[in-house]
Amino acid sequence: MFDCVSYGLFEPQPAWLYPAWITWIMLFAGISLNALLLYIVARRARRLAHLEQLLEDRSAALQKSETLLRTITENRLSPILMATRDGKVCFWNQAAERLLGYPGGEAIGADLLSLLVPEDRPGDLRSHWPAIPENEQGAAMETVLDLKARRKSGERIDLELVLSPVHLPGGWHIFGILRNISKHLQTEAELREANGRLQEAMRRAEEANSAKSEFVANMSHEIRTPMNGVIGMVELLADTPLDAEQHRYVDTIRRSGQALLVLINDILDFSKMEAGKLLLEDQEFDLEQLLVDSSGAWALLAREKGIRFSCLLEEGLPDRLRGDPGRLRQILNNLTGNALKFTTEGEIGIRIFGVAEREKSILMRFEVHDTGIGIPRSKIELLFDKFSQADASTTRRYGGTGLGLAISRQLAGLMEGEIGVSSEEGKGSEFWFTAWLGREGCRERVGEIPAAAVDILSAAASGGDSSFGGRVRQFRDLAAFLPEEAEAGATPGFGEGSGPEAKPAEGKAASMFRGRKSRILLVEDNPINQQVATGVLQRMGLQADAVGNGAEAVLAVQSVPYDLVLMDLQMPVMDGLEAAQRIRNSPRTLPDRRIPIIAMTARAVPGERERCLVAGMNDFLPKPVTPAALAACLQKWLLEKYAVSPEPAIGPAPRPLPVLLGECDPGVFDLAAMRKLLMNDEEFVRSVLQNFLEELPKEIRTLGELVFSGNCKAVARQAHSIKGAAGNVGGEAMKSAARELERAANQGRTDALPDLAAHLRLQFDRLKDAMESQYGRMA
Amino acid sequence: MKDYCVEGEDLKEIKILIVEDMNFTRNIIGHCMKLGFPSSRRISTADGRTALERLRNEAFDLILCDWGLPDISGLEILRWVRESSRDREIPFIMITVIDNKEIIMEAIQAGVTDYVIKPIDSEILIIKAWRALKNRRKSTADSPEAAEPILPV
Repeated sequence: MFDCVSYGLFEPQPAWLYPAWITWIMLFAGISLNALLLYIVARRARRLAHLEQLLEDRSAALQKSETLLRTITENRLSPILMATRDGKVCFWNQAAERLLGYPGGEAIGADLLSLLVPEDRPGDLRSHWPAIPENEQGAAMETVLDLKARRKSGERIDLELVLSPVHLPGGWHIFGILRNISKHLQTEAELREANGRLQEAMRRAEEANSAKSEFVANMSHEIRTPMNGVIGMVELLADTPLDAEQHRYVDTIRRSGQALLVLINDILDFSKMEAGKLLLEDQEFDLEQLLVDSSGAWALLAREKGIRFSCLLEEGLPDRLRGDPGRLRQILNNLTGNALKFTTEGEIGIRIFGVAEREKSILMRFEVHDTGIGIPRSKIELLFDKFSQADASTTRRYGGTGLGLAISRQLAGLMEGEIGVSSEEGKGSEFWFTAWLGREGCRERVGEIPAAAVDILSAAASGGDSSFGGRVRQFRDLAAFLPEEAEAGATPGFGEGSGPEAKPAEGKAASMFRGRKSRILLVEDNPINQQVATGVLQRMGLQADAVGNGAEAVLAVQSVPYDLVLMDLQMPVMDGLEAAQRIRNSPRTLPDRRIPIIAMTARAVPGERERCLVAGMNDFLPKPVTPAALAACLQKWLLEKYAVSPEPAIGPAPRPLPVLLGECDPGVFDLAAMRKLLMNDEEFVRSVLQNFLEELPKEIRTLGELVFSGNCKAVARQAHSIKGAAGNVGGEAMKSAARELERAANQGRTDALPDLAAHLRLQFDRLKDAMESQYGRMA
Repeated sequence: MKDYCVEGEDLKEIKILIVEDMNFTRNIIGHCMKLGFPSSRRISTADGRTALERLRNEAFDLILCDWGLPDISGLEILRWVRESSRDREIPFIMITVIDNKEIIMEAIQAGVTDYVIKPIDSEILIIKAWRALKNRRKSTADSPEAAEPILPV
């Protein structure tokens, strides 16, 4: 610019060629220079001012952020520190100072580790140093440490130290935030302790509660065992010659004893329910049979009070249901018992019918109505609660624990049903409950199960919960089956029901079979059952042979033209199922390969009937086989086979006599069976009896000790041995008592053992009495 | 003697081992053997261990053994007997409760001679014992005749 100006000024003629003008030129140049300088200085000054402004702005921002930082770091609550990578403190805020007691001046430059003095991990704090990436690679990691440290004063302090690596101009630093967690830990410890105390208290309460339940259960057992003895002995006493007055006394003792047993059972049930230990059984049963059995006793009681009694069962229900027959009976007993208790005149009626169906079950409704004292409306609500009767005065007048209905409600609930009552004071009550029970098909359909199964399936497919509504129900009065004088006892075992009213069927059967010369093969391994069954068959006018297992049966059928086979299922060597299959699949030409085979089994195993049918059997008789059921079955199969039935419609076989009040044990001592086992050698029989009466008390004593020790395995073994011994002297009742005990022990039902052992002892005493009365005192 | 005494000339002075833990049942078995074989010697033991000890030390002609012994099972005794060189052929009758087919099958496979079910029918026990002894004599006399089937009489 300089040059340009000069050149421009002097271009026409160079001034230095003319010395006179030099001064002017100099002057002009100086002025120009000055102006130029001035201009430059002014520009500079302006730029400087701009820079200064900038600087000022920057430093203000810096100050602001520094204040912010300081406010954060210097706050009095959060102790903050920073250390260099090798652990030297380079920042220490006031809160840190307050927390640990070291002023900033003292802390800065010191080793962080020696400041904190961590007690619990003196050496390895540094191993917990946050991971710092070498060469700027990898992630910088935070760590959180709980430390037990010391203040400058030496006081202990619990710290939480959060360490994070930060990259600052001087390299990587450790940034740390401290927190005093002493209080927190203390609270936590206190909480934990309180919790522990609570748990302990809870455990003790539970222990006490279960101890109580156990005590109640044990007590009930302890009471039941001698009660069984009392009742058993009273029953024996009742069988001895007594005058009328003594008879009355004995009867009163027996009734009181039984009432007491009911009560104890209630308490036992209730304690089980409270402990949630009450479980339902799931077994096949015959509802009609159950009702006939139970209503016998009710009808008798009703008759004693001069009350009419009926028990109506809907027609056309499945013959066999699944569920817990014992518990069902218990509810019914309870409701009917109440009705009997609170009714003095008029009638008591029981009605049972189906109300809804599912694929495999049926909802049954059981109603018990009476013309008794009724229940005031206000008390109905309380009725099903524990320990309550409608009126405290009722307890005094009618007795009872008030547990019965509460237990019944629980039981109905377990059966997915409900329980309820409608009542009018002074006029009567109707108690009802419902229960879902499994359906097992109809007995009539046994011969053609596949078709029946299809029926059920298609019914299920057309709608699950089909209601019974609108259907006209037909009922049958089961109480009408009862003979007028139902006092006589029944006879158990195979011939359970060779009681009075089994006879018509037998008689009818006999007249039907006589002259037909039908020949029956009985396949049964138990010699006593064999003997009884062949006896029954012979009385019916049939010729019967017995073999002891399936293999023998197969041989026998191949060599003798039998008309029908009665087959036990569980036998040694070859069981009934296999034998039936062999007979059906036999390549040999038999007299009749389609011979009817009837299964007999004591097992209520699901699917058993189907297995029998699949194996080629025709029908199924549940054990114990009653003469009536046997006669009905034989009529069906023998007459069907020959198709010459003189009476086309054979009504249902009458039911065997229900077992009435008290146990009946005609199978106590079967001398004939024993003689048979001992070759009818009288001397041998006598010596075995004597030996039995000498040895068995010892064995039973041993058993008692084992039961007391609770060793199930040993109890099962001992019961097994006793079972065998009882079987050898024809002690059927004792044998089955031992079998029950063995089964319970095998199933580990320790709570049932004392009762069953007591029962076994009782049965032994009875057997002993029976033996001694037959053979005179031997021991 | 009684008509069910089945003793023949060749069955005199036989030695029978009876293994049964329950006194009562053991007495019945013993008595049956006494009736059936009056001049036999009957040695009774109440447990398996003693039975094995006796078997180690002396030779028997017949073993009657309960299957549910408290210490050693009847099956173990049977197996021991069948594995020993001296007693390999000795008639061995198991006495068992009817309950379990498997147990009987197992025993048959292990070489049991016959079985008697409880409650013990004395006649059956005697006849089975007698037949077992007879078959034994026959087979030791190298008769080619097969042993009779073990189906109950």
